[in-house]
Amino acid sequence: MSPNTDHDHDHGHHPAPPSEVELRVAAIESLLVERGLVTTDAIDAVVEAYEHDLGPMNGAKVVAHAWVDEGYRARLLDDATAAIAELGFGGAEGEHIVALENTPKVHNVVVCTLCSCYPWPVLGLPPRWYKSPEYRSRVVREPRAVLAEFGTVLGDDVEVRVWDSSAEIRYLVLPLAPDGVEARSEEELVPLVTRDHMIGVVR
Amino acid sequence: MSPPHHSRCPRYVRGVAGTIVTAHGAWPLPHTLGAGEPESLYTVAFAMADLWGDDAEPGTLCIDLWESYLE
Repeated sequence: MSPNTDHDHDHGHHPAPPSEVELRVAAIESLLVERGLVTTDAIDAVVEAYEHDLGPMNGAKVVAHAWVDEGYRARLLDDATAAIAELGFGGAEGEHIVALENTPKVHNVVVCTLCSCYPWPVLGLPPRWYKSPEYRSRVVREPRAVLAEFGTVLGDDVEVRVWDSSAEIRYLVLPLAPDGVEARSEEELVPLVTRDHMIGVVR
Repeated sequence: MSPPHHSRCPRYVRGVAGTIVTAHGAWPLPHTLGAGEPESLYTVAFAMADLWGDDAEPGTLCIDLWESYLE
């Protein structure tokens, strides 16, 4: 077999054509800009915010802070929106956040069966699978099976609580602190907290 | 329950008995697009077996429902 007949054009020098949605979004954006309804700077600022300022790194700071500071933990569980604002996070899709505490006997997992509600200020935008019909329909019906597919196998003594975000309240899981949390600094703990921990598909 | 307007009450909980676990105060109903009178919103907990039958996994499902969604 010669290398030429094995050439499958899959090494990035033929970029895929834009999808229909991408083309439609680009057309809408250019119309809005042409008619002076938005500026490209404003669009760039929004994109910039979602790329750099919003994301699970914010939620990870909240969780790590709650792990090392009992008072903060109590405030987070009492009024998560206010406690999260203490760290400077808030805004759209984060106006009313409730923190769900995992314990040795309880595991929480969050879904939005009707659409894709998600706490943007602390987790950013949802991953594709969170919006998929498969996750949304299955995690309410067979959460343990879905969690197992994420590698999360729970003992029979752990109660699973599934939270369907059907109204304006957004949910953030407060995961169990790792062993030896007392010996670690908050800065060391932050990178241990992932998006999947805070959605609750990982324990 | 089969409302004539938009509803944020998914079918899988309709007609099933649950327990109110949290009251969240009053919120605009989604189908009024924020223009109607706010209505009480509750987190309601359901046993998985009540939702899905005897072969359900053990566990609890919590969902936020407006007063008029409750029977």
